[in-house]
Amino acid sequence: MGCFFSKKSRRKSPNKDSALPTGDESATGNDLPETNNTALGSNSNQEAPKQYSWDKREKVDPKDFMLTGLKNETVGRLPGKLNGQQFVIQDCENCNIYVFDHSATITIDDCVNCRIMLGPVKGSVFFRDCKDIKCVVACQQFRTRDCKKMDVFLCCATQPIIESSTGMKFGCCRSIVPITKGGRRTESEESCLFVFFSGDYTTANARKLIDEVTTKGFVLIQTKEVSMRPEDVNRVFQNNAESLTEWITKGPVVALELNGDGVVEACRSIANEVFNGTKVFVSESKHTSSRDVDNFFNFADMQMGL
Amino acid sequence: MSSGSRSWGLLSILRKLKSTPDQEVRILLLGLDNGGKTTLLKQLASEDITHITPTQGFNIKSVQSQGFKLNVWDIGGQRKIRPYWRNYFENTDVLIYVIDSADRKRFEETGQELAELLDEEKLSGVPVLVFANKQDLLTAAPASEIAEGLNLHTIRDRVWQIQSCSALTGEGVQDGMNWVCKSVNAKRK
Repeated sequence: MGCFFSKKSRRKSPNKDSALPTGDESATGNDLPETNNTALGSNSNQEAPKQYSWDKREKVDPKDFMLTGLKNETVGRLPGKLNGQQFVIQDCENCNIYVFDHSATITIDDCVNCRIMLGPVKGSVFFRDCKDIKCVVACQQFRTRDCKKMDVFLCCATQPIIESSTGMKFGCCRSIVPITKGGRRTESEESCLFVFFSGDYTTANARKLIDEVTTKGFVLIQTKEVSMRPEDVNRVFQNNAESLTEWITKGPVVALELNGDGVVEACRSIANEVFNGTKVFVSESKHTSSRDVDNFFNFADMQMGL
Repeated sequence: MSSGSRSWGLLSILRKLKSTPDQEVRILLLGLDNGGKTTLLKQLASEDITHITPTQGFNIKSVQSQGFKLNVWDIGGQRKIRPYWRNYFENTDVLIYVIDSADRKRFEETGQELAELLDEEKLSGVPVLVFANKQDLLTAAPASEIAEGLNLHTIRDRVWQIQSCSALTGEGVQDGMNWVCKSVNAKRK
């Protein structure tokens, strides 16, 4: 059995088999015979092929979901442009590629010297034959093969497969990406620092806190997930440090800055009512909270390194 | 025997198979890495498919009914571990070869691997079902195009079938597994 796709063996069979379509005899070697007559099985008494959802769906232009052969460009896809579809990146050089949407799966082939950011991928991200890549990826499966010199900030649900690749570096990609005020000026003078220490439900708890405070009309200014060492605890938490030193050893902390008049009091009561028993730090008063926030986020900014 | 909505699940497949002297049917699931083999296996076993990790080694699902057993072996497909596939060839009743229909870059590679499998002594005469998987994806090539590219019609020494499917949604999987049952039963007449 030869393989038509193979460059090595071009053993095409003669059109004698009744299962094969009788195409135009004068067709060039590159023309495929009509596909609706192609045998789908060795049994010559095949029923008419069934129609599946992919046969009936509206055809889209695959080019909208591919980036091919680009050089020295900054390109990407804005939110809503992919909408969960597959995406293909290939043969790009010295490009900045930003995929700001969620997708089903992404393959990246033969790219050199690119910076690539991939929005959440439901399935796998597969890099093949790529070199000098810096990327940020969130996906279910992460795979590389025959790649060289990649810096990967990765958020991956399962164990990556790194095959025949050299010079690979990995860092952690933040797993919480809530909508925050970012650089905008705060609404009120009063802020509060709320820190969750590492545990089984850290991420879920952070989300819950965000729900709780935003329902009450407070504003989320920023969040950071960062690892702390014992020596950092003193600097960041100052007077409250002793009990916390043990807690930071279990894993990275998730910190949130919340803003609004009365936010400190609100956070302290939420901590008591909702997060009783969870390891948290909450600013003690509105007089000390802005210092807490500065101490923490200055420290965190220095750690990120990106 | 009632057929539920999951009538192509492993237990149903087992029930459709005729009892054999050695009381065991062995299905081998091969294909390139990232093709969807494990998703297919989990789908057949009605298990969660949203959190599947790349297979390092193999996965096996076994079902039994009235002293009769069905084993499905899902072997990891990365290039480095394909040499180990031969350890699983013996006593295979049917080969299911899974292709990522949307990974056009690797059609040549998957064709090459399939060709080598069909040349293997220990797999001679074994019926082969080619699942043209991931039809839910945009750039997926239709089964007919893949059949052409792989020159499946030149296979002379065994029965074969190509079936388009989406292991993720389950569409097309039952049709493929029905063929598997038919061919196993025919072979054991």
